[in-house]
Amino acid sequence: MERKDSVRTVDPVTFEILSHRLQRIAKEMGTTIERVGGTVNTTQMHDYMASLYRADGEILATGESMPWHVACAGFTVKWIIERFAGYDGVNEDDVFLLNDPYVSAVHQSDVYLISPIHVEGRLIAWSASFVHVMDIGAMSPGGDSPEAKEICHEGLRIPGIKLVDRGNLRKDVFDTLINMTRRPDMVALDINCQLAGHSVAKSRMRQFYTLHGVNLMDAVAAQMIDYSERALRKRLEAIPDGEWNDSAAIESREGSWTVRLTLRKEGSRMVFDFTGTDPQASVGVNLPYHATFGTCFEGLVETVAYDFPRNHGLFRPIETIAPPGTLVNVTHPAPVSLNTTSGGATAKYVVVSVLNGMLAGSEAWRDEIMVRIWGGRRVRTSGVNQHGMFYSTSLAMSPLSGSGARATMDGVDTTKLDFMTCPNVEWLEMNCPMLFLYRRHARDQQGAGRFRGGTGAEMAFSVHKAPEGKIEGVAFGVAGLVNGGRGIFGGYPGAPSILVHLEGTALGEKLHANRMPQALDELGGTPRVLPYASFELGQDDVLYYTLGMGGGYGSPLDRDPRAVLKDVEDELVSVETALDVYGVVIDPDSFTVDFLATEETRRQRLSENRGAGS
Amino acid sequence: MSRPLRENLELVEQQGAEWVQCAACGHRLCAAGEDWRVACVTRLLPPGRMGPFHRIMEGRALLEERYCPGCGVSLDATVIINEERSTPRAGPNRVKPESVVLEARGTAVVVLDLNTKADTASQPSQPLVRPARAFLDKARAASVPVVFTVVVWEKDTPDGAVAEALARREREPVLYPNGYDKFIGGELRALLEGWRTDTLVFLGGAANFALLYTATTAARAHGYAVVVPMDGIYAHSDYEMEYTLHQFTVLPRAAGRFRFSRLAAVEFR
Repeated sequence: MERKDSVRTVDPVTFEILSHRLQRIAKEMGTTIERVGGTVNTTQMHDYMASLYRADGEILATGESMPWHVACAGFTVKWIIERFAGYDGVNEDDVFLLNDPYVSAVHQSDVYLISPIHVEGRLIAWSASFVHVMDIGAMSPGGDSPEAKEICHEGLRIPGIKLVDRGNLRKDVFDTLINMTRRPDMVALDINCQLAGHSVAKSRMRQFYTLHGVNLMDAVAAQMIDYSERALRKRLEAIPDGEWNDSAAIESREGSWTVRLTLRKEGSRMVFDFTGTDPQASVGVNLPYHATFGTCFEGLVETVAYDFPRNHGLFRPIETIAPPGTLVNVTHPAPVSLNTTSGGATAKYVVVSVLNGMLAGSEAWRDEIMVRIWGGRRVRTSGVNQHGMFYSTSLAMSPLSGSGARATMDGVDTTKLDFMTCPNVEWLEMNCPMLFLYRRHARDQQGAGRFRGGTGAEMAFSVHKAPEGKIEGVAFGVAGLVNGGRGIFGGYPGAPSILVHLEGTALGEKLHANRMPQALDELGGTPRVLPYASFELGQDDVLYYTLGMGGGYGSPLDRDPRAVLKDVEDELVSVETALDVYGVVIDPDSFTVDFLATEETRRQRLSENRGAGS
Repeated sequence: MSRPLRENLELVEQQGAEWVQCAACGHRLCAAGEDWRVACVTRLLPPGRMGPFHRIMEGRALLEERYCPGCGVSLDATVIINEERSTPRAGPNRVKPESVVLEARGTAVVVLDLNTKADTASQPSQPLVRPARAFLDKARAASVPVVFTVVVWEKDTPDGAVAEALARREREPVLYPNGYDKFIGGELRALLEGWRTDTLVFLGGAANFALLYTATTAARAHGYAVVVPMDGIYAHSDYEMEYTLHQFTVLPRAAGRFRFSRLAAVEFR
């Protein structure tokens, strides 16, 4: 079964069984974090990562984890090896903690734990995890700090510290860390569930490596990585070479920042070149280099490598160029706290966009194209809740964005298709002093196209039973007019994702009369569209929020009229939009398509298209 | 033989010729490597065309659609955001220089009207000559072709030559087009086509005469990508410089082809 000289000597059946077992250990590690966790981030939102690395830090196996964090944790493992080899050593049963974006983390709120796994005294692997902790002691509760002007405003920054020494929790270190946050109890829960995940991973890996032998498992690990690399290179070689460009701009009152990307593909090698991207921003939308590299890794995993084992083999064919001092390679001490949902979302968007351009030129792959949802606005609230305790929560509604359309079918409604999920309204109302007026599909807001983008959600909520009569809010995410899904090949973008603060509404009167408003025009009040900002939501104020809407694929005039009718029946598209945008004539009484009138309408529009212009 | 480029567009190769055509009707749009967008029928539409909620963009953005001239099928839809439309400004648009890496093959440097007068200290173009020389040497080292123009009325006069400090090489042509737009007469276009150029870097000036007219034609009529190193051009006043750069940012259907940089921030590979 096993020879000493080559990874290729593991027989295929053994390889399949053992490699899948490694994937399952990573998965089990993540499940442990979720089950042991006590905060909404881990138990409902999947805002965590769990993965395994080889002894030298190469990615070995990942669970259902955000790939860019998997990549960053790989940089973290290598950094820990380097940092601690010098003066304190890496010992059996140690656990290290790191959250410094200027080393290898994305932003401080995402706290990495890294632990070595030994068998009979030999280092055989590492486990790594992150959890987006509930608070990190930044100037804004929860971490996302729109007013931060430098990294020091954004909370604890730890470049690597030993949290567990040879199996013993360093209580002094642990207490010091959690004490510098607004919710020590919650942050303790977050870190403890990570420790539990690492403990399970270590236990399973030890059993497994002991059972099958370290040498065989090493060979399997090397072969897994080799397999992914070879499979990806083979696939890339079959796709035509070329160069593809795209750019996307975050637009806000504070400024405009454009991420520009060129993908050059030759044979089995791809270079993601961010040269031309704007200088780093004055607000925390900036990405460190390793995170930008991670966006390329994630884009690859989403598009051409979605069916390959996710490991270091997928790293090898790609190179990332990101000029220092730009939004995609930030230099100290610029702020970064908003980056995952802004600069990161934007970089991921352009990465997938250029990859889609590459796939469009391949007969074999063009049907695999899926327009990526860019992002949208985000909001976090905090304050004293109805139980008299301080709370802070990201509403984490972004999973309710619509996904982008695909080359062969519509985008998925209220499903962003990434690794996070959305907390339920009941939980939010139970734990936060908030009342949701509605959370529902938004009609007429998805990007139109031959295949339309997925419909995102719209919602409105107010303060409810808040002891202080108010809560604090932070508006972040991707600001701009085209910030959800952009269309592709003639498809339209989704409507802008917006946050609107309505001050002084008639909500109180409506509720007193036992009427729950279902539309903004029933509420009155003074609306203010929120930029990157902190704000205060007072009694009788309402926050209206639309998520990212998926972009369309192809021309709306090419959409099957029966599909448009179905959307009208499902109340996702109005009869008026069916005509104005899709050129489909629907009788509003009988809900039937007038096919002759539709054909004539579309014929006229094509005729206009041929003859118009300058 | 054909292969897809994107939805409704394909690249066709036949008897040694390659072109881009509409996959729906076969209408030939342009030769391979040229910008097919230029050959489309283009319409600028209000954002409400995309749906009722897109009207929130009204006054700040437009939908630009491109259609096949043969059958009217949509080939592209882009939202163009223009903050200036909704927020009138007192002054011109300001451009930000960016670092640019250009493919040496496909790029040419066009030096506008830096004749021997520019060797003279009193000329507004004189401070440009030294940094321009360094830039030209960088381009030459990367085998990027260089072409010079000189105003037509200086031809066959002592000032009809290129500034000595630029050290023109024997192989680098000097053209004398009769107009601010140096494409007039067709010599420049023919030269660039022979070099298979798709990207032009402009040096010299004056900004509001030769540069403005020539770069506009390059981008709008011929579809070139244009790079303007802001410290590689000159004008007789700040106003004229600002006006020129502003124009490049607002040219309908051509503004997107301009990039602004600095001499030191332009690299060739």
